[in-house]
Order: sequence, then C-alpha cells, then structure tokens
Amino acid sequence: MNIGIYLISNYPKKSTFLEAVEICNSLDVDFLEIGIPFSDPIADGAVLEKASFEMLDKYTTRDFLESLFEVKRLFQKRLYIMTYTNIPYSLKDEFNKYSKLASGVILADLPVREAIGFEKKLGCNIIKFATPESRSSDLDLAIKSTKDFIYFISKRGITGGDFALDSQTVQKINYCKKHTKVYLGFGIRNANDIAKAFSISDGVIIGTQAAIELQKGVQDFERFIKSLKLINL
Amino acid sequence: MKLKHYFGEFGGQFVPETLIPALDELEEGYIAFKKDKNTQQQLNELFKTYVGRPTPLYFAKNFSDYVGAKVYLKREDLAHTGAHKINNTLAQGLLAKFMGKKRIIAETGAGQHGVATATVCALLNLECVVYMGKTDVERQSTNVDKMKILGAEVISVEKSGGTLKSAINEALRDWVANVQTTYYLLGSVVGPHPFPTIVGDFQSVIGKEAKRQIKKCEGKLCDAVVACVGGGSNAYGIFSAFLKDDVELYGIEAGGRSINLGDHSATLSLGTKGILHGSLSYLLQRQANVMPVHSISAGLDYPGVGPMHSFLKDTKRVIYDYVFDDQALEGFFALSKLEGIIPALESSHALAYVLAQKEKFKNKTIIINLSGRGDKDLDIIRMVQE
Repeated sequence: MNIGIYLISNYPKKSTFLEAVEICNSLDVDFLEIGIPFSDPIADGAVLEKASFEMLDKYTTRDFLESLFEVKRLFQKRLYIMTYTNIPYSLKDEFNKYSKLASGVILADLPVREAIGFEKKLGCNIIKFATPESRSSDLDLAIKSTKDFIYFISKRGITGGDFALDSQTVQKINYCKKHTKVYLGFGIRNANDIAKAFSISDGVIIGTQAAIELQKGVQDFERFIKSLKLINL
Repeated sequence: MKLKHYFGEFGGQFVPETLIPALDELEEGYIAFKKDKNTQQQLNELFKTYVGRPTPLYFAKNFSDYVGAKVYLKREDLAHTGAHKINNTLAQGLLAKFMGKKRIIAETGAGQHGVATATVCALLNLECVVYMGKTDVERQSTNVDKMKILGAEVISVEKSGGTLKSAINEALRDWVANVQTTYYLLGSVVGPHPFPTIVGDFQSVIGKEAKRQIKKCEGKLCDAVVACVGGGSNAYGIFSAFLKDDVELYGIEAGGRSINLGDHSATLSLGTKGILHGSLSYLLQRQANVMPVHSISAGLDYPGVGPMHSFLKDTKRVIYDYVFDDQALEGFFALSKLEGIIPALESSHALAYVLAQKEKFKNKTIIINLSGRGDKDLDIIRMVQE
C-alpha cells in the first residue's frame, strides 16, 4: 500500500516546504507529488488554487523547479512532478533536467489520448488518468500506456471535497487493478478515507488536506501525517 | 474522433480526463445535429425570424469617402442582442436541447456572449448559469442586468484578474463537476476540440452571407476582409468563406495601452505558442504562466486565441496586426459621426485598422465585419472622456 502526499513547491514558504519534505521522509511516506504552480489551474479546488496564486506572487517557475533538487536530496523514495501541460510544453528542453529527478510527471490537463504523443516529445513518463466518467475504451487506453500507476480521480470535479465512490466507479477501479497499479486521488483527507481507499486500490494521494495542515504550521503537518497511521501500514 | 481535432499543430484536447467522454459526446451530438433535417430547418427558421438573418451588407459611403476605399460593413450589430454571438448561442442551444441537456453554463467577457446565451436559454426553456469576471461585471453592468432579466444566474469571478480568462476557468470547473447534466456553451472558437470547429461552423453563416451579398453588390468578390480578433469567432465566421479565394484577410487584435506584456491582448501578433483552456495555440505568457492582458474592449482581452487563427497565421493566409486603445476610440467615433452607427469597441479595432492603413486599402473594395453595436460600451466611453 502506498501513501503519497502532494506538496506545492515552496508552499507556504521555501523553508517550511523543505521541512515538510523531511517530515514525509522520516515518517516513511511512499511518494511525494510536488506541484509546480500554474496561473490557470483548472483542476484545482479553492484551497490549492489560492495556495498556487500566493506562491506565484512570491516565486518564479524556475524557483519552484529548482527546489526539486533539494527535495530529491531530502526525500529517499519516489518523486513525481504535478503541474499543467503548458509548463513542460513552453519550457521545452529546460523542463527535462527537472523531470529526470522524478519517476513521472502528472499533468492535470493532459488526458490519456493527448499524453501518448506528448510523452514522446517530453521524453519522460507521464502518469495516465482514469475517472468515474471513463468508458471501457478509455480505461483500456490508460492501461495499455501505463508504465507506473493509473491515477484514478475518485470524483467528478476539482480537488478537495468529500471522498465517496459509487458502485460503477468501484467496478472501473477493479478493472484497472487487474492490469496495473491504481492510486486514488481527489477528496481523500484522513485515515478513514485511506482505509476505504485501500480496500479497493494500491495507494492514495492526499493533496488539499495536506496543504491546509501545512498552512497551519509544520507541527500540525507532522501530526496530520502521523494521524494517517503511516508507520503501521 | 470523427472530426479533425488539430489545425496543423494547433488545437487538441488539453483538459482534465473527466471531460473526455463529454467532448466525445458533444462531437457525436454535433455530427448527428448537422444531419438532422428538422433541427437544421428549425435553426434556419430562427436565424431568419428571431435573429434577423441575413444581416445586411451595408455600403458605408461616408466612411468610404473618408478613408479613400470602398467600404462595406457586415451588419452583425443588427442581429438580435446586438452582436454576432447569437449565431453561435442559438445553434448551440438547439444542439444542447437535441442532446437532451437541460442546464447550460457559459462564460462571458464583454457580456455579449452571456446575454446571447441567456436569450437563447429563455427561448428554449433551459437553465442558464453565466460566469463573468468581476472586473467585467463592473464595467459591463448593463449586460449583467440584461442577463438577469432574461432569467440567467450570473456568477461573478474574482480570482486571477476577474476577466474572461477567470470566467472560463470557473466554467470549466463547473463542467468537470457537473458533466453528467450540463452543457458548456462556449462563446468563441477557443477551448478543446470540438468547440473551435463547432463555434467556427455556427459562425460561418456570416461569411457565407457576406460572400453572396458582395457578389450581388459588386458583381465580384472584394479585395479584402477585415475583422477584429479576441478569441476569434467573428473573424473566423467571416474569413472561413473566403479562405480559398483571392481575398486578403486581416485579423485585428487589441494593442491596448502599449506592446509591453500585460498592456495588450495581441496574442497572435506578440505571443508565443502555448496551452490554455484546452487547446494549443498562441498565448501571452511569461515563464510558462499566462499573463494578465488589457484592452479597452472587454470582448478582446483574452490571452489566448482560437487554434485555427494560429494555423492561419503560421501558414500566412491571414495577416494579423493590432491597433491601440486610442486608435480603436478613433474608429468608434469616426463610424458614429460619419454613418450614424455606434460600433462595439471590439469592432472599432477593425475600423481603426482601416483608418490607420489608408494607403494599403486605397481604392480597394473591403468588407469590415461590424461584429457588434456599441451601446454596451457607453460607460467606458464616458469614463475615457472624463
């Protein structure tokens, strides 16, 4: 079972962000997803969007990306970059030196059908999505092109909100799981949600709640990560 | 996918995975809608009796004398609700109904698309929610009032500048969350495939009529067609009929206050390739983030542009250029005083370009797409004059 924590690069400020990375490392978080803020984050809910905008006022895109070198030094396990497609598209080759640090890149506005061609151009592993809306042909396309895990977006809508799965969605997750690893994201906030998610998937990604806790301070963040009962899992 | 979803390298579907089945459903719905004789008949009838199509092609003699060219105006300002936007909203409203959708969401900048959407929703008995940037809500209050009268809910968006871009972000979020019940009625030739194709097709009525009309008036085609470009729907609507003809095409963007990034909306003239709101196109950006934009006209201040325009720019079929705010105002007053027609500030950019390039157009026959009327802009004009 895998627990992944989503952290916005340099949020709420660089030193606190790096402390959070160290906490995740010491508490044995399985992977980190580092968000590179983008001006138009259409898949982000209010919490993450506000955090991204605050960061864009303070730092440049290069600052966010450069922090990945420090994250890589502080965090022993897998690392993923999460952002929007315009960032790698417009930065072109410059993006490669950062994507090499990560096991994969998660692009919230890059559906599987576009990702397949884009992956070749970018020269790195792009994580494929599935959703409650996916049809069997969409799931098959995602499964066929997945090298790592399928990021199953557990709900229709943006990040945050509640975690709930209908029976059709569970069937879709089960179908994917027969072929590849499936991690669930969107709306997962606490140990209860995690327990529910683990009964049907291989892992979870926690974003909004992690940002809320980190905003309160590193102690709260540490308490939160511990509350997920990471060490026992 | 059955339709071409790229124009050269531009276009595509850069959206959250959740929307992919909805975009496929839209494409299939659109193809079936085009083949359905009854709905096509209904659309043509409403174009005629409700919108007031065909809109006239008016020979503007006084303006022509003033600029030294033979200028015709395609009078989209006379279409119901006062702009070309109704062509697309009426057709998409019927498409939504054809697809069995009951809730419509839309974004709006100047408010023209919002009003046109609210109008059609009232006509077709559809629930209507319009997202509008806070800045635009303030500077286009008359249109906000109209939308409310027509029964629409107007949601003011404060985030990320409070203009058209922010409104599209929120509309996309709404769509992702309510994709099962909701039809997103996009107002320009932007967004993910199939929207650019659909909106372009529904606006192509402008060019088809204009071509027929100019042949009738002149016995031949014109030398040039000039249109303003924000997202690019009125421009593509008129250009599309002339793409294969020996007619010069000019797309005029908003040069705003200056050519410094942040001061204008001249995406094609001054931008670089990038991805925003679902498609790869030209974009105003810095370090891969989309930049704030400015224009005196609320309908042109968008940092992206329809992917077909990017293709037409790179293939050099259309010449894209820009005029500044103060030039647009000159165009606005020139047409008002010379012809008794108050143009929208958006359309004033096309007029201003012809005024500024008199030598280029000397003795030529040109059509300017008068995409909308200027009543909605009177607050801005008053503010500028003060």
